[in-house]
Amino acid sequence: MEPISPARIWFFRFCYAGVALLILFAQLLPLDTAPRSWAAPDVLMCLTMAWCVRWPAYAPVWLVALVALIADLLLQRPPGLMALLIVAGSEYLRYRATGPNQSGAVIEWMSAALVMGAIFIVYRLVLGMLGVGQAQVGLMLTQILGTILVYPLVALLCRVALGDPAPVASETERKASRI
Amino acid sequence: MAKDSGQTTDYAGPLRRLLLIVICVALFGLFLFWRIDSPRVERLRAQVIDRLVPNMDWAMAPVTGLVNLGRDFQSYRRLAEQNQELRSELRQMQAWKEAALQLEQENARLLDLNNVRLDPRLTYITGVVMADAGSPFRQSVLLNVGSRDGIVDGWATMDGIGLVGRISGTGRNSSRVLLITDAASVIPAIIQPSGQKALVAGDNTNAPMIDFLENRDLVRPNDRVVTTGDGKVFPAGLLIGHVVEDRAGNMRVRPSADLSRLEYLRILRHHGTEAISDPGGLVAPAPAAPVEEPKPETAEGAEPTATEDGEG
Repeated sequence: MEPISPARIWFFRFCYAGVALLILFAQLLPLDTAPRSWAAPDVLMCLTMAWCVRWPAYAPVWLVALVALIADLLLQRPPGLMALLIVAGSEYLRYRATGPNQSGAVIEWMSAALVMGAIFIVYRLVLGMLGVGQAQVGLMLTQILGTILVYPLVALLCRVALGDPAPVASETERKASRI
Repeated sequence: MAKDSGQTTDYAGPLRRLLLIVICVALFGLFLFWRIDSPRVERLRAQVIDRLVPNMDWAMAPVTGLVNLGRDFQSYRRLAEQNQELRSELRQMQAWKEAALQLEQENARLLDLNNVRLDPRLTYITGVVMADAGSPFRQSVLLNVGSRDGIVDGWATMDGIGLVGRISGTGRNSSRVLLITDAASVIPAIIQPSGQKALVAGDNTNAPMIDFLENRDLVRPNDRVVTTGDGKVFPAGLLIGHVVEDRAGNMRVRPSADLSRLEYLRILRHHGTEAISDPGGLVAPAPAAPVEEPKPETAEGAEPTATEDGEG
């Protein structure tokens, strides 16, 4: 196994944060301020999940939490809840999902889809229980569906950009993902 | 959460798990705190946005401009038919313009006759839209003016024709406008000419609902919907839009403001409507005066006038 140098790890961590900010930036552009009947897929969540499955060292927990919290604040969501769910979901994918090197792309897609669907449903349930006003169900469903459909594309793009996934249980990666 | 047999042997495992737990607890705590004391956390949010978004503005403005330029180019393709449409519209408009000019002259003459002074306190600040809500579930935009420019929460925002929304959340250099289409926006309104009072409640669609209407039968499509001063939130008489009826038969408002492309917005300075609490000295005697006394006074007062009249 080729060990990953710390410089490379930090470079790609910066890349993750940069791409996340770019996605938020694109979402904030005031291009169309009228309400729509459909919701665009949550690309940031796809990116986070894809990096956590394939390249866990490049997306450490604290960075995932920080990015998700900033997204919560910028996108007018209830602060903290979506970030918590994304951290939980990405941790689950990181450790419990079938190992990235053993499983195929389809299995990865399915497990990511399940986790992302669960995140949206739990988010809606918790908000419902606490009596926070919410958008229509149809809007949420289009977002879930779009997010699941767009995941393979994001994963493919990441693969092209980052190369082959890092080995999952290598010494270097575990050291790197320490904090 | 991360109960992993392979990880526990590594000393980094427990440390990592501790970090994970701390992060989760902190995030959940923040959410609960937001649910309990929303204004404080929203202020924090406004500050964070105030720090982050104006920094992106240098890049946002050109990108938005470029995309809009591209859209305009697309519309050039339909130039010929647009020209035709515009010509016919212009013909109609000229008739209207004539009518408007006559009305304007008449209005000016009447105002002059009455010596009317328009409310000088209803002035406005103009802001530029920097960013939108970024999420399909919320309808709001971020302006580049904030508490530094004297913006206060709750002021009405217009696009020159119709009401766009209200200020909700101000940072130093930025302020958020909650659009009338947002699900959290409810505005007291009056429907003219029937004078029915209602609430205009946004529901994430293009046309907000008209709620709590007193008598539906008096309201017809194309009636004007304007704000009332109720609740002391908005100045009275701002145009919201026109009534339309949707397929399900519900009354809705089609906003007069062009909500799909917001660029420059007017924020109306509003210092609250003055409440009239006492009848005032000139209109009637103060209510504190005893009831018996005025009777002889008015009787005495009435007699001289009667005699004067008789003499005259």
